[in-house]
Amino acid sequence: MTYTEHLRFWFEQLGLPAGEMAILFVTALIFSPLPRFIIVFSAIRLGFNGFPGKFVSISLALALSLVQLEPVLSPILVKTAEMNKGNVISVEQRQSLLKFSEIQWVNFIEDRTNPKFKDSIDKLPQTAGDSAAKPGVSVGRLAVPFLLSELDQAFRMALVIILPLLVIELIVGTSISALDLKIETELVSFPLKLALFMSTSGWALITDTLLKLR
Amino acid sequence: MTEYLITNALNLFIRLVLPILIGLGVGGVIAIAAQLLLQAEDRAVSFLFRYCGGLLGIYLSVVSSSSILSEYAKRLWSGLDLYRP
Repeated sequence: MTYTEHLRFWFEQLGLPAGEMAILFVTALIFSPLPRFIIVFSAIRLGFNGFPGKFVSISLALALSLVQLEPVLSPILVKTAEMNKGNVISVEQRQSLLKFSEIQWVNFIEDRTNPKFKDSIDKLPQTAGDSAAKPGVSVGRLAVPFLLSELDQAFRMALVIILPLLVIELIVGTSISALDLKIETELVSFPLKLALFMSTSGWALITDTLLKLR
Repeated sequence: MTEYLITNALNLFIRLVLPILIGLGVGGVIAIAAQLLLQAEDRAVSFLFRYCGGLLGIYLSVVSSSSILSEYAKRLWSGLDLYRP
C-alpha cells in the first residue's frame, strides 16, 4: 500500500469531513519534528540572506520529518494494512487502531520531550481523559512540554549553524570598512558563505546531524 | 555551552581578521614613512599603501583562514554534543 492509499483508508474509516481532516493533519504535523526543522532551515535562510526560498526549506523540513517519523508511522501503517484486508472494519477495530496510533505517538513525543519541561506539567492535577493512551500520559498533556523542548533544541541548533556564517559576515564587514570600500557587505559575504557551505558539504552535515539527533 | 560557542566564534573572528588589520597597519606605517620621505601630503599615497597592505594581508592569510574556518564549520555542524542541552 502506498502513502496515498493509507491516507485514503484513514479518511474513509474516520469518516470526517475534509476540513476536519485537514485540521487533524495539521495538528499531527505540529506534534512532529517539523517545527524544529522549519526553525533550523529558517536560521540557514537567515544566514544566507533569505536563500533558498521558503518553499524549498519547508519542503525539505517536511521530507525530513517524515523520515524521522518512520518508526511511528510504520507500525501504524502495517496495522492499517492488516485491517484493510477485509475492506470493512468494525467500530471496535477502528477504536483499537486509533488507540494504537495514539500510544505510538505518545511514546514518540515522550521520548523527545526534555524532562526539564515535563516536570512542570507533571505537577498539574490529573484529569479523566489523561489515561487514554498510558496511565497519566496523553498527547494533550505532553503537547506544551514537547513543543517547548523542540523549540529549545531548534534554537540551540540555529545558534550553532549560524555562528560560522556570522564569523564570515563580521570578517567581511570589518575588512570592507577598514579598506574604506563603498560596497555592500552582503555582496562579498554571500559568495564566501556559499563557498564555505559547499566546501564543507553543509547540507549533508546538517541534515545528517538533524536526523541523528533525537 | 552558549558562552563557549560565542567566545570561540569571537576568538576565531579576531584570529582571522588580525592578518588583514596587521596588513593595513603596516601599509599605514609605510605610507607615513613615504609621506615623510617624499614630503608629499597627498591622501592618495596613504590610501594606496593602506589598500595594498590590506590586500596583501588578505592574500597571504586566505589559505590558512579558509582551512581554519572550514574546520570550525565542520566541527560545529557535525557536532552532536553541541546540539544537546
